[in-house]
Amino acid sequence: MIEMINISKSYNGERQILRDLTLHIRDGEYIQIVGGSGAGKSTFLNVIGLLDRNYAGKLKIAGRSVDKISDTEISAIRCCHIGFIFQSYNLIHNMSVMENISLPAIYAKGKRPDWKKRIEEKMSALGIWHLKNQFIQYLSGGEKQRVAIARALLLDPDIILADEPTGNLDVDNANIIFETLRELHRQKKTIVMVTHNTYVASGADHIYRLADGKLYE
Amino acid sequence: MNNMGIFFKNNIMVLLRNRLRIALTIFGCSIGLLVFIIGNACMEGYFYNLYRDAYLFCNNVVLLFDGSDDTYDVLENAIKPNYSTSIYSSGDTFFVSSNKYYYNGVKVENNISYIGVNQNDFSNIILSKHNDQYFCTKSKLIYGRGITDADIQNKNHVAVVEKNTAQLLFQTDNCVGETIEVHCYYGYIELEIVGVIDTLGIHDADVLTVKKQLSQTDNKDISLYHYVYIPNTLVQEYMKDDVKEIRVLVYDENNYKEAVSGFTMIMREMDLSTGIVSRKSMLQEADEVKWNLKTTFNIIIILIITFSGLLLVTIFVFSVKERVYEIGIRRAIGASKFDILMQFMLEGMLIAVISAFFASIAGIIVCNFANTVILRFFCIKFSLGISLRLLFATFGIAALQGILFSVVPAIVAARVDPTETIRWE
Repeated sequence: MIEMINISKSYNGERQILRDLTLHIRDGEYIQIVGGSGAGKSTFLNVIGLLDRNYAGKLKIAGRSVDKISDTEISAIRCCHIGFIFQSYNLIHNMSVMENISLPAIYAKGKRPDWKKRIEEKMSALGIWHLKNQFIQYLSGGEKQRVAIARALLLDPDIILADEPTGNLDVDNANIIFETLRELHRQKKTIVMVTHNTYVASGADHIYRLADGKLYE
Repeated sequence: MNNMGIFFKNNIMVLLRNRLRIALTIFGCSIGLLVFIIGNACMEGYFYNLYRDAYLFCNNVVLLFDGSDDTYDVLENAIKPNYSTSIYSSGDTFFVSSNKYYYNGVKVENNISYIGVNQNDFSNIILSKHNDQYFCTKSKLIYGRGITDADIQNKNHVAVVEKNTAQLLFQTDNCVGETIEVHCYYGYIELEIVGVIDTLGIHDADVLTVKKQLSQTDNKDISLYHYVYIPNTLVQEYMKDDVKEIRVLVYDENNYKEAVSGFTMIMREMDLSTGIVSRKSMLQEADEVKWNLKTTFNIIIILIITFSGLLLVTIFVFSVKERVYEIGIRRAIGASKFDILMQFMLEGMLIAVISAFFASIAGIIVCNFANTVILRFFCIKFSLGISLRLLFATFGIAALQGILFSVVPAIVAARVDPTETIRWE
């Protein structure tokens, strides 16, 4: 599903963040990347998530090279094949829960499902349907994260990228999130989770440590 | 809910939630468009009157005017024998009488200009003057009779007036049999009114002025100006020294163009200064005035709309800076640069179109109010007209403004790097 071949990334030509990373992630695999602050975990996710295209090396998503394709094609892949779950949720505050979750639908060109029904299904599965008209600033951390997950899953992406999804949550909410990720794993979604807490990093198919720009299993 | 519905809800409705910013932007854009609407409405009203005056001049008529005896002689001897013409001449303005209206004690001074005619058919061309503008229109006799050949030949003391003059002087439409006293160089002469013609439709303002002045209670004297038609021979008899203008009308339908050429040639040969007025010349003059005015106005409008567009650009660029985080999120979940570009351009166009809507409403209100004020306080029938075409033009300009002036902020937004805005940790 994801092939990284000799990926290197540096900032301003001086600080090398990723050094000749090579990694193959198969369909349905659950990968966890651990590392300390400043190890390059965010950069790693930005590259896989096609947000940062200023790197050296080769990257393939679903067997297709994405190094030199247009911004429109990249955006289409990000929209329909990749779901992001951020530690700080990254929800838009002057929108309601429903509006945040339905945002990817605007950019899903060609897809014409019953969006209302689909949104309702995702929200109900995460137990947040009753919050549909609430604005984001009135939600708790756990509720926000579930909204973010619902948004990430709206278009049924093949790849889920998660950065410390439970970093700002209490134990109960964290467990809900983990259970959701496990369920996604059971549904054969490819999951890449980044964390700096090794205790949390369990249940994955593979765990890698990112240090000095390299991955160690 | 389809993609468009989600787009509308997520983009448009969310945009409108930032009320203060949107209100300021709409206000700024509306000002420019409002100036455009009111300016055009004023011009439309002005041009309407300008062209109306021109079209009130009969199409097959040419007017020459000059005050010299030489011109009169040439007209009598060279032009009249060869062309179907009617020669008018006019006298000075005379103080006629001071009429006191009983019901509010206002002293009314009537000033009458006499136009000497040598025709006897008032269903044909009538020459009149209003605010230094000549009008050549057709009217009809509604009471009494016209001025006959016998009246002209015998220099009878008769007169024909317009209906509104009859109203003002005698408070009745049918004033046949009434007399007007004229004070001229030779003394007082009385004229009997023998006929009333339909109002030529250009002196409405006089009626309004009178009504307004009569409604005032400060008992100021008011002056009214009328035009009365009398036999040309009377003018020659009693008012020759005071004749200001001699006017010749050509209304030969068969050789109108030849007649004009003939006049012009004769006048030039005689080295006589004269003016030729026709509907064509009046329209040409109106076209020139219109072109000059419109050009000046459009330049001003372009500057104003550009200024309000720059306001839109400034506010939008600030908006982009504020919404960098939102843009990053949208990019992360699948928006391409083009999607972001289109979003901001559509927002710009939407704001501009909403501005056009408010400007149109405000324009209609302002114009209606102005029309009422102008009519009531200045007694001028000058209508500020807002046509459907003007409204369409307003919306078109607004849409164009919205697109043009949101391009730069949209490009700025599309270039936002999502990796710098999304908070991973």
